[in-house]
Amino acid sequence: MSGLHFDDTAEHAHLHGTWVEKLDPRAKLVSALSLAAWIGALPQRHAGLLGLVGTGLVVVAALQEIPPRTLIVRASAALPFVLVPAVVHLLVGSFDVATTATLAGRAFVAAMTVTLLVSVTQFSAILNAASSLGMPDLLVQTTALVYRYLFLLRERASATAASAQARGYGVHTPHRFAVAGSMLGSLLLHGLDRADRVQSAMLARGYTGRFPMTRPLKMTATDWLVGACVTLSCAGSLFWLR
Amino acid sequence: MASVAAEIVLDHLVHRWRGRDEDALAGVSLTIPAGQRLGLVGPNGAGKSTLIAHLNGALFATPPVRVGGTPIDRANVVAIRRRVGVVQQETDDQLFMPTVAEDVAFGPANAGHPHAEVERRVREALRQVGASDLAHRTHATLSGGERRRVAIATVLSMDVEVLVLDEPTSNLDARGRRSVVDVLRGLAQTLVVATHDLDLVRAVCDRVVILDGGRLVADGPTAAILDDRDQLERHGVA
Repeated sequence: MSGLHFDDTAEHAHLHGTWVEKLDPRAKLVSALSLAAWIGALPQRHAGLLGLVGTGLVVVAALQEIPPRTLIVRASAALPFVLVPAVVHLLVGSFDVATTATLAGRAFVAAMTVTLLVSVTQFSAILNAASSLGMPDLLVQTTALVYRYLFLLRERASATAASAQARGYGVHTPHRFAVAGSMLGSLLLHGLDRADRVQSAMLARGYTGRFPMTRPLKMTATDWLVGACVTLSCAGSLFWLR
Repeated sequence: MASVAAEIVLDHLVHRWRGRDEDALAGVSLTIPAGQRLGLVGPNGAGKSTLIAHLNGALFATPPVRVGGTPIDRANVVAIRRRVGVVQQETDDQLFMPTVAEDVAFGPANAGHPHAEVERRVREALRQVGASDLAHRTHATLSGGERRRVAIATVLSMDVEVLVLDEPTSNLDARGRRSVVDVLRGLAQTLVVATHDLDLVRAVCDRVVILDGGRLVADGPTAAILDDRDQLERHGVA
C-alpha cells in the first residue's frame, strides 16, 4: 500500500535525505511505536526520564535540521486532549497533581515522537510500512483517504465560510447557529459527493479494494539494527526500571 | 504505447436516473471507429456525463455498449476499464495519491504489472504529457495545466485504447489550455472529448456529435458541425 497525503512538498520541504530519513519506514515506525509504548509504560516514579527522552528527541530533530520549536509547537497540539480530562480528574479528586503532570508529560513526549516520525518520513511511506507490518487494509485506506481529503475538506470549509461572510454572515446574523448547521450539512454533502467521485476515479483505474504497493520497501542491515536497538532498549530499560 | 484497436458501439443507449421523469439518454446510437477523435458537445444536462459513464462501466445498459466487440457488463468491467480510461473534470478527484509518480503508477500497479514495468509505464506516460519533471511533486503544488496533464498521464499509463476526457480544459488559463491541446493532439488513442470548449474540439477532434436533451441531434465532421452557427445556437452549444 502506498498512502495518500495532502502536501508532501509543504510538509517535507526540509527532507534532505539524512540517514534517519533514508531508514526504511518500517524501522522508523517500529522504533516510534516502541518508544511510545515505553513512554506509556514508564513507572511514575521514573517520570523524570521523560525529560531526558524529550531532550533526546529534540537533539535528533535538530540533527535532521528540524527546528526544535517546530517539534515542540506541533507536539503541544496533543496536550489539550490529555489535559482536559486530566484536569477534570484532578478537580474531582481522582488524580493528584503529580499524576496529572506526568500524564501531560507522557502525552507531550509521545506527541514529540510522532511528530518527529512524520517529519522525517513521508506519510505515504508510514502507511506503506504500517500495511506491510500487518495493519488491516481497510484501516490503512481509511487513514490515507481521511488524511488526503481532510485538507480538501478544509479548503472547502474555508471557501464556504468566505462565501458566507461575503454575504454578511457574522456574529449578528439571526439564527447564526442554525445557519452554521446548514453550512456544515452542506459541507458534509459535498464531502460525500466528492467521495463518490473519487471512488469512481479509483474504480476506473482498476481499484479492487486494495491499494497497490507502488514503492517497494527494503530493509537493510542498518534498518534492522536501528529497529532492534530502539525496541530492545525500550523493553530492557522498562524491565530494569520496574 | 497504446494500441488503437477498440471500436465503440452504442446501440440505442437509454438511461434514466432514479427519481427523474425524463431520460438522461434517450436512445443514442453511435459508432466510434478505432483511432477516431470524437468531440461530444451539448448544453449542460444534455447527457454528456451520463454517456461517458457508460463508456467504461460506471453505468451499464441493455443492450450493452460494446468496446472492440466486448460488451460492457459486470462480467467484463475490469477488463473494459483497462481498455477505456476516463479522465474526470475535477483533477482533485482524479489525483488522490501522494505524488505524481504514485498517482500515475496506481492504474498499472492495480493491473498487477511487475514493479519494473510499472516504472517504465510511469516514465513513458509522464513523457507523453511532458510532465517527466513533475514525477516527485504532489498535486497540491501543480498548476492547473500541469494537473490536467498529469491526470491524463494517470490513464495513459494503463495503456488504454480509448481515452475519454470530461471537460479537459475547464478552468485552465490560455497556457494551461494550450498545453492540454498539444498533449491531446499527440495521442494515438481513440479519443472521446466531452466539452463546451469548441476551440478545443476544432483543434483536436475530427468528428463532432451534439447531444441535446439526451438525444443525438447532430453528427458529422468537425468543420461541418462547428461552422453551422444556427445549429450550434439552437442546441445551446454556442
